[in-house]
Amino acid sequence: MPADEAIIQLIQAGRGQEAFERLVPAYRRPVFGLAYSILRDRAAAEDLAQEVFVKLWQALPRYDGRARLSTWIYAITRNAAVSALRARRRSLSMSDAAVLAEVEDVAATPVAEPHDAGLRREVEALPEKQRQAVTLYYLDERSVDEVAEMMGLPANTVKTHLHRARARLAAALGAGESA
Amino acid sequence: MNDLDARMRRLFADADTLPGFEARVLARAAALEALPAAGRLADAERRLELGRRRLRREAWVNGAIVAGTGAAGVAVVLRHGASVTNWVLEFAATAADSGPSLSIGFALAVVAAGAWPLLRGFLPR
Repeated sequence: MPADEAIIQLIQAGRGQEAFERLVPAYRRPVFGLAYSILRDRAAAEDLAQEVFVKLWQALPRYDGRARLSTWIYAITRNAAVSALRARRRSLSMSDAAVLAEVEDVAATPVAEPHDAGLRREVEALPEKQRQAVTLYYLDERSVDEVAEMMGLPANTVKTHLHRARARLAAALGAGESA
Repeated sequence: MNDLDARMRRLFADADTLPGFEARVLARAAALEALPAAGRLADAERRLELGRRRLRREAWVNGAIVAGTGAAGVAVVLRHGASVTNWVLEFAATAADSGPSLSIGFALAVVAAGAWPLLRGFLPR
């Protein structure tokens, strides 16, 4: 990211406040996007992005420049998102009768279909890594290399996930439209 | 595929943070920064004191183990010196008759007992 060099110089100069003021706008979309691709919920992703930036603020003086700034930020975001996802799954155990009742109520309520609901359903049905890859790829029209860095995977692996996801989506949508 | 690409871009077009996100983050960071310096210092001192106490406790336990083992050894030698000598000599003779495996086993047991205070450091607390 082009802003990284200036941010790192500010950190090394002990000007953490200024560094953070530049870091937040530069990484708002990537951090939110990465959280969104893992949590699949806009509000939860926004809350998590806030938490990640607070963590970054506290950890900034300890950034030693060994890893790229973006790699460091994405690793913190991934760890936080995966922890949040686990905590949410634990608290939303489907054995909980109250949750089941609530889910059934929601399912029974007729709601307006959101824009391109069919495509959204197909994306939701993709395997986790494929869904994450297409979300990051299309969310801000990122390159494969950027998506790979955000996911912490080799670029070729991301290419494979993207190829399979797109083929699956194209097939599912083709079948849906021809039916 | 081009149609799919366009639809995918439209699908994620509205996924973004709410307005004012950056201001809220900066306000939270400023609030953290505004924590009284004395409070942060007290917190650091409290953690330091907890660390010191843990080290003192570990040192005391290790010292007690070494002193207890030594005292027990001295007591045994003083009270049953002759018996211990006989037992050691008998054991050495048996070990020599039984071949190297018993000697090696005994040596390993002695080493393990001696290294126990060190090994404790690697065990989960």
